[in-house]
Amino acid sequence: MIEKYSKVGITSIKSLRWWLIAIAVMCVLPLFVPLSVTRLLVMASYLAIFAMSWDMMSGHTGYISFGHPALIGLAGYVTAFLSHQEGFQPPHIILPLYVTLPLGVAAAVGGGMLFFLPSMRVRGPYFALVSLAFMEILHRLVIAIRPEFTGGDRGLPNQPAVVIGAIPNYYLALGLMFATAIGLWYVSRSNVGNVLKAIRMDEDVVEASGISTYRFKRFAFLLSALTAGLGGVFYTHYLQSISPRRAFSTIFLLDIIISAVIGGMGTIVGPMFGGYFLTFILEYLRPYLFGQWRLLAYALVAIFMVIYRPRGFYGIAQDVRNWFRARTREGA
Amino acid sequence: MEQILIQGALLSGLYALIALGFTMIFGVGRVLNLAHAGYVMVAGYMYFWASYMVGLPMGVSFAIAIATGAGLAVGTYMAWVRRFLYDPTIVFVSTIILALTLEHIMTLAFFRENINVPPIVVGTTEVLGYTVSNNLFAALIASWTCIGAVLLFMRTTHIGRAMRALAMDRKGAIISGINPDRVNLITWAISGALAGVAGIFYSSYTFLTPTAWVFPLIMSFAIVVIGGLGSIEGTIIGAHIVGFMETATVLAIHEKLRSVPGLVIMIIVLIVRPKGLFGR
Amino acid sequence: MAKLLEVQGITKRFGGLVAINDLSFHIDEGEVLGLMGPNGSGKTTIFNIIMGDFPPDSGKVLLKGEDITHYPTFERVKMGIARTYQVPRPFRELPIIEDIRVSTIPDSIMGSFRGGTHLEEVERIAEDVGLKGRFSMYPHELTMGDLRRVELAKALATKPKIVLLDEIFAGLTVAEIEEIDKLLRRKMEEGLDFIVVSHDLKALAPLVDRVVVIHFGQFIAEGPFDKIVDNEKVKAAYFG
Repeated sequence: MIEKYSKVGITSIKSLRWWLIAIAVMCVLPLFVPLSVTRLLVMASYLAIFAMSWDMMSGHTGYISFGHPALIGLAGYVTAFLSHQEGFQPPHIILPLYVTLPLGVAAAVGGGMLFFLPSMRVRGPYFALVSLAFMEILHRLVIAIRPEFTGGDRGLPNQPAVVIGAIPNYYLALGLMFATAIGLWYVSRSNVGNVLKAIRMDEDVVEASGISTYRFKRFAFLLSALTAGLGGVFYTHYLQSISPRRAFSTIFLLDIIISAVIGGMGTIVGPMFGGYFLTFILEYLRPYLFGQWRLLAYALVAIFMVIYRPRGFYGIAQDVRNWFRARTREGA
Repeated sequence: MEQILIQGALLSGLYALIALGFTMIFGVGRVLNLAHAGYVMVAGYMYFWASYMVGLPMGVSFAIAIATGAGLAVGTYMAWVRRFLYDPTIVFVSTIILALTLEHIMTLAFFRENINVPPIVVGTTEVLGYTVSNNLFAALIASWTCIGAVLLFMRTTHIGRAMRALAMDRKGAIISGINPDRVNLITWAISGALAGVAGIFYSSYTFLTPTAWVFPLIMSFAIVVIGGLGSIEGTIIGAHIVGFMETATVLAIHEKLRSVPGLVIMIIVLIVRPKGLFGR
Repeated sequence: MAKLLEVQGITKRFGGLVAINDLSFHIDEGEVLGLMGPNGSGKTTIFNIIMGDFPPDSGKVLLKGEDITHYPTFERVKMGIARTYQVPRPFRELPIIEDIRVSTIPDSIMGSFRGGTHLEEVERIAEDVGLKGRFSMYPHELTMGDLRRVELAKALATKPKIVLLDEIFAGLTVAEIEEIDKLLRRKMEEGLDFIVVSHDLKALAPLVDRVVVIHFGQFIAEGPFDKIVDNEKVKAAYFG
């Protein structure tokens, strides 16, 4: 009976061994796979980070954010701009990476809190609406206001890299990914996570239990923006460029959402797998399904998942595990 | 200045048409259909296909576009939304993915290039010294005709009043014997039809492209927040505020900043009066 | 006797409809108040106002003399008011023990991380209301009687001074009513105050000290249960 309760403490120490196994496996993987796969893994790791950070807020509380790329892009632009500007008149501001990276993260958190907090006080779909508006506003501002600074439509290319080479970047991304995953997973399984999930189920009742839902929503958003910013700054320096079309696009947004949905909203681990799954499936279906068809198939699968299996692959995996457990109990 | 007023009025009419279906669904069913702007886009493609690629007469093409909009809407509702009215999160996520799906389908059918749809009504007219395309006038007339028809429908027909009842007091309406499922179905069908009309004219106002659903969706958000979710009068007023702000920005400030003032107003309204101008 | 909870001159309009009309009543410490009135007389609405779901158009809500009229709901709960709902609202996806546990989680991020309430304490609360053996069951697997117990457990878990019970006997079998009745009386002996809303006069009778009757959101009568049942105005309100 104890097993069914989601306790922090005993169960997490047991589960920690699964994390250690996963980390070990991922660490030795580059030895066995070609460099092209390693590069793909880097992209997948970043998508996993973004999917998990989205899930922390939207998957748990049900306050769907359509502006997640805005947070990522804001962080990326700040670090990009402060570390390298292409050909323009003095004064240049070139700051070292160890300064620009934290500033980028701070921008994501600060900018996010500024825009999103007011809408979190209001019940209803307003948070989602404002989040999409935020992304659109940032997109427009970056293109139109002082394009000589922001790079306008083109963006900011030729950014410095944090580390060079596929393998070092792999471990950097992996490290970030696991740090984010374990941290957010811990929160999700804690009392805080339970409150957030309850908010999604019935916010009024949570309020009536003596809990300020605003306080908890704000915390979830803080984590979400923080991890989005972290991923955003390092991602920008991995790609060594940033452009508005990629950063503030609905394609990016839907990659993140679909990863989270297929993995399983509200589980952190699900979206993590979802990021890897989306990246690799899109790549490996390339010879079989031409271009747009892959994307279409993916979107259809995602819709199916949202409706019939909102807990995604994570939920399916849980069902399978429970089925096995039941059978071994009966059978043996 | 006059140019802003004229073009603003025309754009606002079109926006009102787009946002109207969007807000009606929320008013009656309490969910937001994020694929709504996607229906507009698809209907625009259908009109183009029917009248320019197949060569059907204009009236038939109109009918096809409107039927497409209504059909998509009803299809979405019946396929899954009606079962998830209690869970807005699922409706949100599934309908925005649906919008993306429609984009992919249209890309497969028509490719990614921008299609310039020839105007439905050719020629221009002089208004107060400015040249305005007749096409935009036609759009304005169509928009207001539809808006008027919807308002009349809501006030006079039995179903229309049922829709208003459900929007005002859901529990009370159901107790009075109104069948929410049937009324919802009709609301979705109407909103889809409106999206169809909007698609026809929107496609000739700007060019046609599979990603054309994003911008109208965002502006619809601004319109319904400013006007008040679920309120038809609010939507019309909101559409005009947004439409004029966009026109003024494009003509007087910077073309690329077109959406910013409208969105900023939306955020301000959200902070100061979250229910919007006419919302409950 | 000190006034524990008091509503003064509450008026609430929804559009054109006046739901509550200049309503005033109070409950003293140590007493159990019954709130009676025909369907639609505003009983749930006044509960909502007391809990803070929405503000009144005019009037005040006072808890131990403090004006809480515009306090947010969670603040009022922390001050000691709790409620159950007319239609139970359990968290659909949680086993009921987890559901009750949410009510024990403190209103602070750091506090929640540090642990909040031990599972044993939550189990004790669940056992106390009679849910032993059903801890890991889900709401859809439970009877109405058990769902009402869950509601009560969640309310009690917030350590309230007063609980607003909205139609707690509705949908229960005679046996279940007796059990809930015993449970409530045990809680009363432990010092808890209740405002009980119920249609079921027979269930209400043994519990309440005093009764307030409202109709169309207006105060009709007040007094001990037996006197009220005989009151002409009350009979008119119920039987027309």
